[in-house]
Amino acid sequence: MSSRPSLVRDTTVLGGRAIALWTRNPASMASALIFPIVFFTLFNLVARRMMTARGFDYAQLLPATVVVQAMFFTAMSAAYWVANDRLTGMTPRVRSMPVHRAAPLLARSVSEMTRGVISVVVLLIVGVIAGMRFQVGIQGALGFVAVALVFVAVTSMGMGLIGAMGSTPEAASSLASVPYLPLLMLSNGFVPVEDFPGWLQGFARHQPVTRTIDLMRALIDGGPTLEPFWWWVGWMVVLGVVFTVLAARVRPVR
Amino acid sequence: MASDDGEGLAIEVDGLVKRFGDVEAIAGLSFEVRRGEILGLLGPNGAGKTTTVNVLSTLIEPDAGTVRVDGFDVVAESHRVRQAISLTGQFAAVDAQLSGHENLVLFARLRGLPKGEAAARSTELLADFGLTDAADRRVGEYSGGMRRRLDIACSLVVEPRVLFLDEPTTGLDPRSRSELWQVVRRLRAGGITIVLTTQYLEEADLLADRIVVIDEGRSVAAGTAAELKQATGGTTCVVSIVEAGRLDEAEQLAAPFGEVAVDPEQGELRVASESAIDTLPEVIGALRGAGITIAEAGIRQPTLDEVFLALTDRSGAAA
Amino acid sequence: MTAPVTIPKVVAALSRREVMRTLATPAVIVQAVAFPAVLLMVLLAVFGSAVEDFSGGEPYVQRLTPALVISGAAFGSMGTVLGLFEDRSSGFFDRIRLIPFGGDTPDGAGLRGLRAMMLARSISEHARVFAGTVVLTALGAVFGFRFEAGLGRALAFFVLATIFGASFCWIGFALATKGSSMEAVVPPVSALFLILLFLSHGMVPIDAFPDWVQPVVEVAPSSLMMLTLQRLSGGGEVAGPLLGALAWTIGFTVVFGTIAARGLVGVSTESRVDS
Repeated sequence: MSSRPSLVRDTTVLGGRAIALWTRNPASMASALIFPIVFFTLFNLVARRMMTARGFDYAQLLPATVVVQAMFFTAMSAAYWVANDRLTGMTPRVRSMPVHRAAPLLARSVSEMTRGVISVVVLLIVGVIAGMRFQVGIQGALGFVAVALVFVAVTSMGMGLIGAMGSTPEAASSLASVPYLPLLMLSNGFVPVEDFPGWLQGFARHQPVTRTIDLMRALIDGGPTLEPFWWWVGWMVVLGVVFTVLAARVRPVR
Repeated sequence: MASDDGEGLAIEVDGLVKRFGDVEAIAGLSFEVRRGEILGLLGPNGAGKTTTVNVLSTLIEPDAGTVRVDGFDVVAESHRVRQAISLTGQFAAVDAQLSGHENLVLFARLRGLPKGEAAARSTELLADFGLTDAADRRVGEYSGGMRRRLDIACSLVVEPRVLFLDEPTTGLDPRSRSELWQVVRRLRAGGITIVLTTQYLEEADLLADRIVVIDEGRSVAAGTAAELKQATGGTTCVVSIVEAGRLDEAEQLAAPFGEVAVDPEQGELRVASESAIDTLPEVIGALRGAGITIAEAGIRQPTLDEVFLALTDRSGAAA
Repeated sequence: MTAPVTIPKVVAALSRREVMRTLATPAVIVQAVAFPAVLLMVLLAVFGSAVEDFSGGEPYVQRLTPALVISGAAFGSMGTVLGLFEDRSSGFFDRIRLIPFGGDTPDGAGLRGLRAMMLARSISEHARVFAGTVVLTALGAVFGFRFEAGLGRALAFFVLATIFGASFCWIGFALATKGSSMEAVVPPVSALFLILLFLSHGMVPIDAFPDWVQPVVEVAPSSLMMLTLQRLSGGGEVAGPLLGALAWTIGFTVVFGTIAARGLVGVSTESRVDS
């Protein structure tokens, strides 16, 4: 019997646990689904006329934004769970076992990806009902889903790290919602980058959410995907590596 | 260095220091644990017991000193240490939304057991700990005692060589506590070395083979419960007299021989001194000389309470 | 022989307690001040150009600042709900009922104490909303918000903002006494407040909304309150929106206040499970 740490095995086991925990608490899915749909509806009501008057078709543009928002919400629960595991003593316990150090965080990402899949599918259906069309057919849709899943996996790792800083699960959740709003709003999600005041444009243009949305929209609209892809992948790799390195240094106990 | 079976020390701690910022949580702690014994780590809150356990279980690294568990260094060979130990923390770290069986399988698989064996091991442990009926119920519905038993069972999915129990009976009702004590005794009978931290003196007294008393990050005493009681340097002789009205007089008579305390309800005189066996005849002589009738006389060992208070009393031990 | 317990004294003491507790709760300060402040800046950056194009040049910050004053009041009232739930489970409400006010009439339900409690809550909320209004208005001023309609209206702005905003506290109070738990109660209501922020004059001009939504925007409570404040700071006909906003304010106070009062008596008599 080998009890040496094995990344694959440990991630699988802990991932299974994380999934079991959220499926037994389906109410948590509600917030990840309902909030984005509500926001989608609200932004549509509020901004569609204005943006149409300026030549933007919100029906085609918003779904990517809403999906990214939903992925954020999904990932934020990672913060809650990381803090909760620490509080209940699960984190120190697992750390004192021959379990691979990166496994807990990766397991979080796996679990959030399963929730993410459901969110994305539901939101795409809502988007189609509201008038969005995939110009590139099924490949575009699949690519879109894949991008969303990678985004939620990387964001979960970041949120998990934030969760490790919170003293209670509630505090961790609040802390996790801090980066979400600026990143989402100061992107090309709601308005074109040019609308921002000059000094913000650089940030708005290059930040990871904008790059993700660029790629997603290209996959819907059929525009050129190569350039957006490289920008996006670059961000995902950099963030993924940084988060992984930081995760190894997190203290399991206070 | 490989671990010796049945020989050698299970744990060696030498000059352990751990700081958190400016605070020295552990300020030079040294002790040893022999194989197969139960060591009690006793101390008030904030003394550093849990920090010590965290270092021993490789959760945090020492700032100075060497710590070897099962023969392996906790820093350099932490992975080997983790294979030899199990930790049961202060809070029952099991998932309330999963069933008892699911929790056990989870930990078994994390320890490398394949699915089938994990399930079998879980069934075995559930039987051992009297949880078979509750196996498929969510742990959230368990009583405190059941949850604790499951918690310990989860630590035993693979039998560790060293088991850490951090305040295992805190918050349990008396019956669950004594059930748990039986479990601990059974484990020791199976040859596992156990490090037990507790605030309950009675628990340390009953279970531990040896006790290390920690205060402010240092060891202030080590030994068996009996040794500690003796070493506090005080024993008390107790004399109860018949003529309750002459208690004050008796107090005056006994005063030269040690520190006298009076219990009017029991009609008792307690004299604490360096050596009760010498003081007792002197007190008896003095009282009889004054014509006071003695009902009972004897020597009493200090309780672990008194030992503890004396050892951890920051203003110095009472003579 | 101590002085008799009178309602004013109790109210004063409880008000002090409420204010201090509010100050000590970070969640309130975040939701009542920090969150609206961030929202102000973010919305200005994101939608500033779009709205100004659409509405023909009126500075967005004139529209946004009143919006966030009202939103801050509403969101902030949710932050205080936590304290009320704590009071409920700790038995504090019971103690209030038992305050011996003296006098000849029996007061079985301890109504005098409860009314004092409610009054104290209202006072403390008025203070909080006023403070929040001042802060957010100052922040708006940094970005260009100006009082362009004279001193009288400017003063009315602060007074009415406080009155409007404080009326939201009854919703929170009613929830705290009738709701099952904080998690069940706060998120849905917070979401509702967020929706009210969107469907109002606060974010975009009314003609930006699809035609079928505009009637909702015209009568929604927060919408009327925001419009009133916009007119008070920017000029324009104020009587219409003011009447509407006052109607809502009174409505909230009466309806939710009554629910809260009944709820208060109810929680004091509910059984608590011994842990």
